[in-house]
Amino acid sequence: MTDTITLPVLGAGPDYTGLKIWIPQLILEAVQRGEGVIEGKTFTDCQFDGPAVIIPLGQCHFDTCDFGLSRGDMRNLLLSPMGANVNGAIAFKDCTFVRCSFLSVGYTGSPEFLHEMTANVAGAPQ
Amino acid sequence: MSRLPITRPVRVASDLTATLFEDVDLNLFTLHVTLHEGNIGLVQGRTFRGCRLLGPAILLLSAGNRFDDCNFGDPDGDMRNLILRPSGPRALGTIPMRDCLFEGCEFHNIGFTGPNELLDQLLAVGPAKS
Repeated sequence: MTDTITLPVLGAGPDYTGLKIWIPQLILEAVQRGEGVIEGKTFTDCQFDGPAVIIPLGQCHFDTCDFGLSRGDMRNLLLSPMGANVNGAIAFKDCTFVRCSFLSVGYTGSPEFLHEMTANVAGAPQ
Repeated sequence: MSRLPITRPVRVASDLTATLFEDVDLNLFTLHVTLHEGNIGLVQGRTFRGCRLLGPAILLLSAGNRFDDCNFGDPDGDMRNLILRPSGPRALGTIPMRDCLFEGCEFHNIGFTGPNELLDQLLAVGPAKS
């Protein structure tokens, strides 16, 4: 049988500071509150763990964040949607991330967002 | 005879280390984390029969997976809505699966990625807007 792991409740925020956040837990708690999207939150000095692919919506800001081990190529963290909608990604809308780190997390979104990630983030191919 | 749609009550899989899952429901990220504790991080050689596979998650299709009589989710009229192409040679943050067999399964809130040839096969099974 599988052991059960109990994690501390992350809560509704909107401010999260110095937390280790398992992203599936964050979205499950949001769903339990009737929220389909994680919106208007501020994360400061938090460590996000996947596996997860996140999609920033609206005005999301990343300030001095570590996006994760890209293995020398930032594109390893990025996925391009083929259609107009995206299934399976976790949406963050109008959220701010300050000095956060991400582990086992991928990113998807608009072509502009993906271009910005490859152009401006360390680890991008030259 | 098709197992779809799955209409039975929710039945959460109790042993995520099993190699055969039948008529149970699984969160893919929980399955991945359970197997990752053994530093594997890869869902390999499992059979899923009559299962609901739940996200949110992006499934990385590797070699040797077989899908028989499966519902890949609601594509909203365009199968491309379920598919993402990796920008680089790796696709971090996804859940890699290899040599798995899916029979009569439903995928809920799951996207798919992988090598182009596998994604093209997936595109061919569903409706696509031109």
